[in-house]
Amino acid sequence: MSLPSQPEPASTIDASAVRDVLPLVADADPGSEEGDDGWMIEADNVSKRYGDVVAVDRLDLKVKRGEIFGFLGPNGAGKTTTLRMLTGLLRPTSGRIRVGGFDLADDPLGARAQMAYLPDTPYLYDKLTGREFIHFVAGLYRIPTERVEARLVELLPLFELDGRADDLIEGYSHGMRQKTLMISALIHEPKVYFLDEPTVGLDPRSARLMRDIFRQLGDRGITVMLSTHILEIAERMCDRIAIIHRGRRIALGTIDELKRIAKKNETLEDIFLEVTGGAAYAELAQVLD
Amino acid sequence: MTATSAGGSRSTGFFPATARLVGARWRIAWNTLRRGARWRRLTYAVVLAALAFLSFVSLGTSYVFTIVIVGVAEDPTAADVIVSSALSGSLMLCFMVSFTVALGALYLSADLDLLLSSPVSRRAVFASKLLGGLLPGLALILAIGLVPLIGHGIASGYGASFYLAVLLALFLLPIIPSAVGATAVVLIVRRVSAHRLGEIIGLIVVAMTLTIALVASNSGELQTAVTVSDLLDILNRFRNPYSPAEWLTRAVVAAGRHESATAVRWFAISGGAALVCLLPLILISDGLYYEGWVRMHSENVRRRLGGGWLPWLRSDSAARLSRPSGILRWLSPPTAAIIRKDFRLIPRDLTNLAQVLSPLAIGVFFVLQQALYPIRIGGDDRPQTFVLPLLAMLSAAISSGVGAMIMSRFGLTAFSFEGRRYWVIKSAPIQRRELILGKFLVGYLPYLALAGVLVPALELARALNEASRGGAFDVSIVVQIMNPVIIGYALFVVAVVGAGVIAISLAIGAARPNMRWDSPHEMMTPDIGCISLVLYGGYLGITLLALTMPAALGGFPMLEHPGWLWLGGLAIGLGTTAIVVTSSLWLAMREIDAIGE
Repeated sequence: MSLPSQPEPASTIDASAVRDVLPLVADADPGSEEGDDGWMIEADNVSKRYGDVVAVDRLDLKVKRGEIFGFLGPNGAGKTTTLRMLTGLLRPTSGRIRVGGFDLADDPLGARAQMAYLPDTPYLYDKLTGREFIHFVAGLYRIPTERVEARLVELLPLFELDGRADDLIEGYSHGMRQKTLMISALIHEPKVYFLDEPTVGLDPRSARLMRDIFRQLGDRGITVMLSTHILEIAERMCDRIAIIHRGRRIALGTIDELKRIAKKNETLEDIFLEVTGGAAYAELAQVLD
Repeated sequence: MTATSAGGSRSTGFFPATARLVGARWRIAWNTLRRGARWRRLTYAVVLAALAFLSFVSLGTSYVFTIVIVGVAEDPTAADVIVSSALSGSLMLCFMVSFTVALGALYLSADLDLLLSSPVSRRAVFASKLLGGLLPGLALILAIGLVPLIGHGIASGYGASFYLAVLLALFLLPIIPSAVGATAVVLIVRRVSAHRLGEIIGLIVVAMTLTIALVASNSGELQTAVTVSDLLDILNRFRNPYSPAEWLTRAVVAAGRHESATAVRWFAISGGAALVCLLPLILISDGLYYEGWVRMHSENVRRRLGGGWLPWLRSDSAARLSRPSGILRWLSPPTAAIIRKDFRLIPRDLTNLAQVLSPLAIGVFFVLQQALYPIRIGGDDRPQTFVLPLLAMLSAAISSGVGAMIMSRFGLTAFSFEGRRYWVIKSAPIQRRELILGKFLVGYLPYLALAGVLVPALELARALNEASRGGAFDVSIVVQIMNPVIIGYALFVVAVVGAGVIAISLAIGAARPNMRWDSPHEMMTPDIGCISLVLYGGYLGITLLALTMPAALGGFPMLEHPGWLWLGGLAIGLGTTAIVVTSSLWLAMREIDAIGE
């Protein structure tokens, strides 16, 4: 059973404003940074084990340039572990990962220079100001100070942080931290974004803004891979979707392809429950209601 | 749920709920130990063995002291001062521990939100948190206090009544400091945020350290107490008739001498005082405690930088994080960013600052010590030229020690300091050597600045004291002591030794990081403290000896030595440092990829 779709909150930000301040590099020449076969993200038979526990099991994924790729799965399915491996935060037990054509094991710096990661829980330095944090990240990515300053003039108002940029981050809400991270990511102009539950904790306006930005990034040839529990977002935004369950990829394709696989189902939620065995839980929820 | 409505819905009784919560805490502690890494269990075993050895030494010392004191004073009651000293020392430690531990346990635990929003008696939560937080530390303090009392009892030939009285005294002793500490915390947190209070406490501890150091440096009496009688006089002066430790001392020694009425009277006074201190705690443990917790969650946390001349408080210098400039202009942008980030974060958190200020207080103590009671060789006359290098090398050793105390702390926690934020660095395109260099310089640059000030300060303090001896101020003595060549060499020794200490600290910090801390106090784990002490001891022993001995003895007329002794010392000192720095940094680089996984 799918949830009734909520009316989309109107963004107070003009879509053209989002378009204007997004990285100019987004229109980068196609194929310059991608892998030999045109893939921006490649996970080849990737596994992660913790002792006897298999968190991710022989995962194969390929994501194209400019694609918005949804990564779905129940709690504990291995989504965050996979994203952490793809960003180099975790070393896979076996398998090979390439990002933007760079092998993460052989050339980690080349791969990391291509990507930005937004974790589900934005742990930042509480005793830095938002502006300092952004400059710090820019320093790590070797972005010239002048360019950072110029971008901040545009991005801080867009994310409604211009009045709080010189406050310590310890006073920021979850959403403000997410926005700070998003600005620091936009400044170094990555080719690939890894987003772990990017809209969790955001108010509807901010969530809408984020979605507008992701869509714009995709349109400009930037690859976005996002994990989410909100199936509506995945259904509306993603070009392709992978569903992971107990560490294994159990479905992959566009919404239409997934519908064809599931045959009788109509919504992504139905497909999700079908392939992850969650239908029984849905019935249980109905009983509890 | 409001404070008042929450109180009315508590259904579980106080005692069963407290027992259940305390039981759960001990189960967690036991599981942590049982399922913890093998090296951690091994470390605990080594610490326990060391404590057992120290207990044996303490027992023997108090036994011998009791016999010596009774023999010299020809009065069996003279040795009561050992009981008094043991109980007073334990009481003082309990007071020092209770405030900080109560704060951490009552307000800064991670599970408080769950417990205080569940239908469990708030008093039960309060009691279980306080007991769970205080008991381990107090048990250790009391165990340390117990050992000399046993030695004293054996030497005095006391019977079972003495030992029973000792156990009762050690049970009553921590109640007053714990109750006072917890009451003060609950009352203060109503006005001051618990997090802020935690930071302030660090500074209070520093102030206490400095005060104790200054008092000790000014008294000078302990230094001249050469006879047992002098020592007894001084220790007896510390006996305060209004101190609970003194009341319990009287009760314990009376029990040992079978003076039951006296023992019962002093125990009753002590127990009564403990009860009086516990009563307000019982009263505030419900409503006021909950108010403080609610206040923590509702306070306005918006904070802007204060501004001013301190570089880490200026809001207009954010751009320097992305631009290497000043003395960092030769470094890569990521390395400079990491250094500048740490130099902002460390002073902005008072808890971190306190860790710098504590050893700094010891440095000030040494300077005052040199100004008031300088180390002197060769009587009271004008200092002999040939001993000046020796004394300058002592200054170098002191400066290295103080600097190392501060900077090893930041080296050991260089990676733990990042905590859960480490992903920001780990996901960035930064080379391992850039990260290591940044963390190395975060420790080494302040070390150089501090030790570079401390060496001349120590020498100047000594020079001023020497120059003003005998009434008139003799400038020539200042010039003689402040020899730039000798001080320059002392600074060179300090710089070399510091590089090794920081490198060792980084290697240990990279191999044993703790990235999942909630309070900065939790960054350091006991095992890395133990490992570092052993490694520092070995390294400093070899290097300081090799680098300072040829210089220190160089001026002695009877020890004319050839140049090869100098060369040998330099070769050993520099060679050891080169090996230590290279191997430590290599080890740290090797461990970096595993950090944060």
